[in-house]
Amino acid sequence: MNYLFWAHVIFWAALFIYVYNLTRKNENLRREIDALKSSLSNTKEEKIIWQKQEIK
Amino acid sequence: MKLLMCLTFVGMIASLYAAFIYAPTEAVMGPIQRIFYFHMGTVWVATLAFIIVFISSIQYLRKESRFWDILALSSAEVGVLFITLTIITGSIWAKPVWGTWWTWDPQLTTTFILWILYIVYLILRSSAGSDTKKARYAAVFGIIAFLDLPLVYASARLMRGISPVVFGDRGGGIAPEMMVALLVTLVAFTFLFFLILRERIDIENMKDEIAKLKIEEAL
Repeated sequence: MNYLFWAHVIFWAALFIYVYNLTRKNENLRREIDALKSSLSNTKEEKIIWQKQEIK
Repeated sequence: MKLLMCLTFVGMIASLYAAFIYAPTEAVMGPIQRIFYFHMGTVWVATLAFIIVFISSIQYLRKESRFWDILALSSAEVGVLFITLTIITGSIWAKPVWGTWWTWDPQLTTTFILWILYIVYLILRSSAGSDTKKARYAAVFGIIAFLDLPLVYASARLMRGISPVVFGDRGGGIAPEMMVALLVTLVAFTFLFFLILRERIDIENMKDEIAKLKIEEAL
């Protein structure tokens, strides 16, 4: 019975740690993508403002 | 994705019920035999994962599409996790039944070789990064590594060993309730595999997107 218990503890712990790491990585990457996208859109807006100023 | 999550959750609960309550206690081994259901689940997922690595590696060599490369890498990682769990749960089962944690039985030996081969594949593929030439080498290795998988199954049937054969003419013989519990577990583990695989593929896709955005930002 002891062996059965430990087999399941190891199985569920390993699965939980792996899935937790995947989810955390996933969230971090999503945040990085959002940050990059907003930084890119800011840069584009700045470029448009500069171009308008140059035309004037 | 939400449907897959629900199916996995319900499936895992059902498999726990089937393994611990529905299936009868085995007469000779006693309660320790209940490891069998989850052990077979991990074996099934690892097999499925390595078949996907094999097919994806061939497709990558043919089409050089990043999709197949990502699928092979993601599937191999999940496969290594589950083959590791196969070896651990198998060892825990073997100790009270065979009196030893490990023996160099043909099936155990070929499984151990399979485990090493896919760890090497992961190291090769990770070191390749975005280098397509190295990725192609990794794909070739993924195809060669797969050749060991039929050996794992054949070794229990063709060579003299102590590993039991569940499916086939020599083996089986388990109670119908045990077979139902096993099938429920296999279905649940299949859902679990595809859920984890999907999550792992998403990570690689997002890494690619970040790389593209960084290039765009630099320009």
